[in-house]
Amino acid sequence: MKSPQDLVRFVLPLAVFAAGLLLWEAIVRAYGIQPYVLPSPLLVLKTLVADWPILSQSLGVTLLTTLEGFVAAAVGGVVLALLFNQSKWLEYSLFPYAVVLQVTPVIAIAPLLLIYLQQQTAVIVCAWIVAFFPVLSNTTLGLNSVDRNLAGLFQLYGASKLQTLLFLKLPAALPYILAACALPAGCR
Amino acid sequence: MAEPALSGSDAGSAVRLRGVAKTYDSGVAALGPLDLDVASGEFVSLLGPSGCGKSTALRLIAGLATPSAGTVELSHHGTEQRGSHRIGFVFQEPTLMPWANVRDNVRLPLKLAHAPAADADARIAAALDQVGLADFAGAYPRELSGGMKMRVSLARALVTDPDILLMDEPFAALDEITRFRLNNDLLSLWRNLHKTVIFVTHSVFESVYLSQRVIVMTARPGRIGAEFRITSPEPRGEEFRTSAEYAAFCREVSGALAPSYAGQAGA
Repeated sequence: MKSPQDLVRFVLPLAVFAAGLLLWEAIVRAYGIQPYVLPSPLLVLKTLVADWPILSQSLGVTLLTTLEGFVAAAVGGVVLALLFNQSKWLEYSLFPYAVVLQVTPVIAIAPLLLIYLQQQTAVIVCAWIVAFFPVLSNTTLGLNSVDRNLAGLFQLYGASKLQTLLFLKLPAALPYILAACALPAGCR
Repeated sequence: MAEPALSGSDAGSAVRLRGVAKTYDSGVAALGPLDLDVASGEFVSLLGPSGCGKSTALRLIAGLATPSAGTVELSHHGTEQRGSHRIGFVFQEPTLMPWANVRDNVRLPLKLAHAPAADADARIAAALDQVGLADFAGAYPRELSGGMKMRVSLARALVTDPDILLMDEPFAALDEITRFRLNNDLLSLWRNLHKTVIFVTHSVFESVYLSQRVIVMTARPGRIGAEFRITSPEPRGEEFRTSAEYAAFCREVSGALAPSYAGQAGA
């Protein structure tokens, strides 16, 4: 059962959305703005319905690319963080390059990627470069956030590295990983 | 009541520290050198000001840290393997996994040792029963009070049936009534299970109430300043807590503890 509070949370944003559309439509009509400057929402809707076969195809491609980039970044970031956590050598060797990759503007790399890779792959790699770092750094933070005494307890009971990872570090890092996954999802 | 042997020089020595010292990398001398013998089945308290290294001593005994000098010897009756599951450890905080319920938190030591499931379930039920939490096996830590969380922590330490129970100021954060109840429950567990208990505390009253022997430590680096045998007979209860005998022991121990605080600013 929805409480009145829930209903309000649902209805209010919809009301704001409808009001925004009405205002937009009213302004376009009142000032007689040309469609190539600013189309009215009604015209947008009409075009959307008329050209749906072409537009839906493009929408599908965009969504798929987004999803692939997101999955690659999430999986890649978590796996890299796990590897870094298991081996200090690996972390010291590669982490600086992860930072360098992060601060290099993707605009500078994109043309090269387009030359070396197929277009579809290049787009996903671009998405990955932008998005994997927040996942990597947040997951690392989460893996290191383990309660010191709990870690001591695992040591006391002779836990293996794998057991410590599966039963202690990963569950402790999960909130950080999920928070990190929300970041690149919005970066598209 | 079974009265465990009090003499530390018996063959039944459970923990033996010889010249144990701990110096941190920063050069701070935290502990020792410390010589300590704890007899099997004995209840010993380490009493001292905060920062005197008593927790460090406990971590060294547990093998969670390595001494800078000296030796730590543990002798277990039964199997001689240096399997560290012969030790139960209770920290100052309950140190429970927030994502696991009470049963799975208590299961942890058994799971890490790959104990068979049926055997583990029976042990978990027994351990929860011992601490009076049989009805809360499915609850999550956030649903429990501070005292109950500490009971879960105690059950987890007991579930492997360890020979030695190490407790690091376990009840320091609890209110007085809860602490008294847990003190009584711990004493009856100790009487029934015949564990060796090393109990770290900064409370004179708690140490005298619980222990057969109170070891007063000096300020950093912690050494043994004085040692008291609390000869009052078991079982101890609320009458003991209000007895003249108890008060006399507390006065004596407090007097020995005072120099440890003398050097501290503002103490």
